[in-house]
Amino acid sequence: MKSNDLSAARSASVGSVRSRSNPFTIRVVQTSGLAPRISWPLRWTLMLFFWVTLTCAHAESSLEPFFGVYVGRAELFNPDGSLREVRDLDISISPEKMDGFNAAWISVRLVDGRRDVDGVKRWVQESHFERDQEGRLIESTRSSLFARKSKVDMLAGDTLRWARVDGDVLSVYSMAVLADGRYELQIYDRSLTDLGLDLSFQRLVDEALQIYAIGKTVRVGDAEPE
Amino acid sequence: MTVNRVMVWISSVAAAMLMLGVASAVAAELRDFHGSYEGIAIASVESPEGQDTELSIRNLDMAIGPAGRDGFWIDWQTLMRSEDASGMPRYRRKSSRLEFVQVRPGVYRGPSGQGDDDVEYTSWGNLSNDTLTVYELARQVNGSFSLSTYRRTLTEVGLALEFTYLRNGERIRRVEAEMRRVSGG
Repeated sequence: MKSNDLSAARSASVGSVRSRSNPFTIRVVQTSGLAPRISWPLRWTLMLFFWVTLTCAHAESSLEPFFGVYVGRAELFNPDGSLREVRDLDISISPEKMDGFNAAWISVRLVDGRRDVDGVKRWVQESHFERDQEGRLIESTRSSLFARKSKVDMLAGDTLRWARVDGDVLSVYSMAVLADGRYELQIYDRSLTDLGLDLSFQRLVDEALQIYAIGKTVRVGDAEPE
Repeated sequence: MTVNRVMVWISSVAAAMLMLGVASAVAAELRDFHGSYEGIAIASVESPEGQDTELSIRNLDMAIGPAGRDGFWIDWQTLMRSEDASGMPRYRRKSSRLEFVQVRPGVYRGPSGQGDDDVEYTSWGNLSNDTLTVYELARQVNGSFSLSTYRRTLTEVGLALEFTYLRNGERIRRVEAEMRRVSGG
């Protein structure tokens, strides 16, 4: 399954809404007064336009809708599409200082759908993202609140992580330069749904897909305050 | 027993020498790329479904030379031809020069930093077998990114160039070109 297939599947699930109104039929009525009077269809159209514009502008940059606690399950696949493993997920996304966020997640690898048998494995991960001077959401490199930030050097073995909010999708990208100079790129997409978050993950080495995952979660609570 | 040990030792040394010979025949060195090249490239812009939707032709001129200690520079010019609304041909020229320094055998650090457009650039390269690859990561303020990969593989007549362009992880452009060596080598 290529990355393009993943994006196609993702966009197919989003769906689309099309307006049946014809904007060219709207009439503008002007009277002889000083201020032009606007016909009610145009007034409503303008109001709707400003509301949509403001909502979109807010949605494009806002992390707030993602804050919460989610539980769910993800399936990991090999590049040929064969199932590799199934994991239970426990995710928390909470606000951080400087308009940033904290993502913490626990994943448990199931054995034959069970988590009470030998072979089960558990991972705990956490990442803090904060905005830099220009407003980029980048992973904090500070070991503590008072420690100095260290510069990420991918050629020295550091991993560069940053985030992007695009409407209802929060993406985290992780980029590393391997010892031989090739790159490893990991892409985590978290898409807001009516229930919670849909997850998509892929790991590429020099564009070649190594592993991918698709998951669903349900929102079970609010995020802890900053 | 002693004769057997000597035979094993001799055959091991012979095998090692043979492997070294094969390796040196396959693995290229930076100086094998030095020279100037020219060629015509066909670019394809891929649709989200992975089908080619647009093809365009570009003229390429490129030169590679030594820089600093164990590094290299790449200089290239691209002449892109397109048509305007009336069907008249329009030409656009792009040129660039990048220098790379070696950070470990086969891995090179290129220019990095913030451009005038607030885009954060990081570039690096690697040499593996007979392919010299240059990567350029460009990150926008909003987190959107592009990743350009230029693979240059030595051929009998010069270089085979493959360029791919990813935006937010999805490939949207690919350029292939056979470049003829016009000097150097």
